[in-house]
Amino acid sequence: MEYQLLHEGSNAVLKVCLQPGEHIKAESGAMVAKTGHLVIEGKMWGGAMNALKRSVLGGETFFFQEVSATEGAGEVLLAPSPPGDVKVIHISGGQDYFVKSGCMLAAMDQIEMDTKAQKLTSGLFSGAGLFVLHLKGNGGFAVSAFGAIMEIDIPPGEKYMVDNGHLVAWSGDTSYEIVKAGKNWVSSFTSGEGLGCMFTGPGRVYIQTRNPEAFGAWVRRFVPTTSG
Amino acid sequence: MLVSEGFSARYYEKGQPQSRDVEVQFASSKVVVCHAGECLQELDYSRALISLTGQDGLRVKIEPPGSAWAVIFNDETILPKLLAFTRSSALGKQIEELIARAEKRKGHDRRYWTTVIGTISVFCLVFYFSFALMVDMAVSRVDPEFESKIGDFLAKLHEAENKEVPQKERVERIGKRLLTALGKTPYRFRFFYDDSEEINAFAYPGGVVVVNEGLLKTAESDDEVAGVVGHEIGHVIHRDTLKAAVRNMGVGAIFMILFGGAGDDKRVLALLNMAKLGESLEGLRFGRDQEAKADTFGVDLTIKAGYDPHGLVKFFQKLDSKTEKEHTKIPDALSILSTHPMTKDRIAAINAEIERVQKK
Repeated sequence: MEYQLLHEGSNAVLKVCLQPGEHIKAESGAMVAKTGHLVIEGKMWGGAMNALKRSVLGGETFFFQEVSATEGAGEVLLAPSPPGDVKVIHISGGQDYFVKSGCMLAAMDQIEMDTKAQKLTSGLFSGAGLFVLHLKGNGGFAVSAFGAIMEIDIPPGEKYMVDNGHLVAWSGDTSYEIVKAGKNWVSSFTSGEGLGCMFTGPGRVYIQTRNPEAFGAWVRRFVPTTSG
Repeated sequence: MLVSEGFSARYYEKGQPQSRDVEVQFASSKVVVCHAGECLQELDYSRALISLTGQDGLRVKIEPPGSAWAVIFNDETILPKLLAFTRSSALGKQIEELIARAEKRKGHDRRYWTTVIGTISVFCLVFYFSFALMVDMAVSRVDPEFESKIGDFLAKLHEAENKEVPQKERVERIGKRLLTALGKTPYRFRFFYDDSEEINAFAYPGGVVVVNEGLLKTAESDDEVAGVVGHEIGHVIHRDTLKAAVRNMGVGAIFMILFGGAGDDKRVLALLNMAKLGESLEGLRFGRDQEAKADTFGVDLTIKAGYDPHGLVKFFQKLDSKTEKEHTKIPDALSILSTHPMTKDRIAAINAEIERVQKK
């Protein structure tokens, strides 16, 4: 299965070329266009219970769409709803990733997806939610974000802080704890940063360069609240 | 020399962005990290640092002091296997401690989630069983005058389309006669006619009673209409309509009424928000007990007003036979039937009440 990222940046599109017999799973509503004979089916990925867990706890759609090349090779274009980047993450050999709910776009090859609970503090303050998606297996999966996506490699023994609300995905080998962004609580909040996620290496973290909640709050400042 | 099998792990090195899949062997006194047959690192047991890491805190990391590199095993189940090769070394002692820590961690996780799920379940159960009580408490905080204001608001919706037709006069005449029998009431009762063919009658909070054309046609005599209207008046007097509306408004509104600083305006605002739902208030449903009490109230009131109290029973029977003959479904919204289909028990209870009152 070959893929190509087009218009990378705020209007990214994932183009996947399917060979006969191949298929790709994508978030419900993510398809932009496809070759006529590719077949689309709504599926509960991993069975009804997993689909229920993902949709109720993980904030993902109950149904995923499966695009199959049962009647010959073809291509499909996939894109997320919000403006932003798309990245494909490859995993193999026992590697795994955790993905913030709502950031999953598509999964290729032999990827398994489940929902995992985070610690209460992480769930409440990381901006990733109490339940996150857990992906493992062999192959690639695509994540989407608001703004651009940056990958950050954290070497063994080193720490790296990400502002909450900017997390997209992180490798299972790394771990994070919620910390105050400043030296003390006063400086944390007066600096406007509040809380952050302190990751410990080794591992890789994908972040989005814009915080959708903060952007929403910024837009609301310009929305008239009274008429006349 | 005892050499272990190669255990799969991921190898990370400073300056190398990607991890590599490696095999880790434990040989006499050192850890050997290999990738594709090539030895990448060797680390003496005496210098090796082992710890739990990862998102779940149960992955095993081995690294040298200074963390120039690290290998990570997927889970803690590898620890007893490693112990077999490192038992008498410094690393072995660390592994023994780590096994105990991993067990403690798993136990902690189990207790943590049991506590979280248990707390949420208890909260849900308490909420479920105390919801009716909260609704009653919230309703008891609402002044009947406020309730009447809601009625005024909703009455305007009907006044605008209520034409002067004989049916309207009929509904008002029956309603007023029942009100005379009712005596003093904190509510401003108003009776409206609606030209809908649906067999229905309903009451809004504050004393607005609406009777449909469909019901007037089905209930031929005034006694039957009086039975239904008396039943609806009962729902208003018992505040069933307000309770159902408050229940539909949800927890937020209940807390606003209960703890909203007792500010009258806030409570009125909450109730007016409810009034915006006026169209859906027709579909309010009542419980079995509320229906039974409204039946009893309706019977007593019709007797006091000089109507034949069997009118309500006749109307019920007529509805029952109409449903059977025409295979029509009586709308769920019909508030006198509400959540329960008409039953023989209900008719028997009405007859018993008539007998009780008439014996006095």
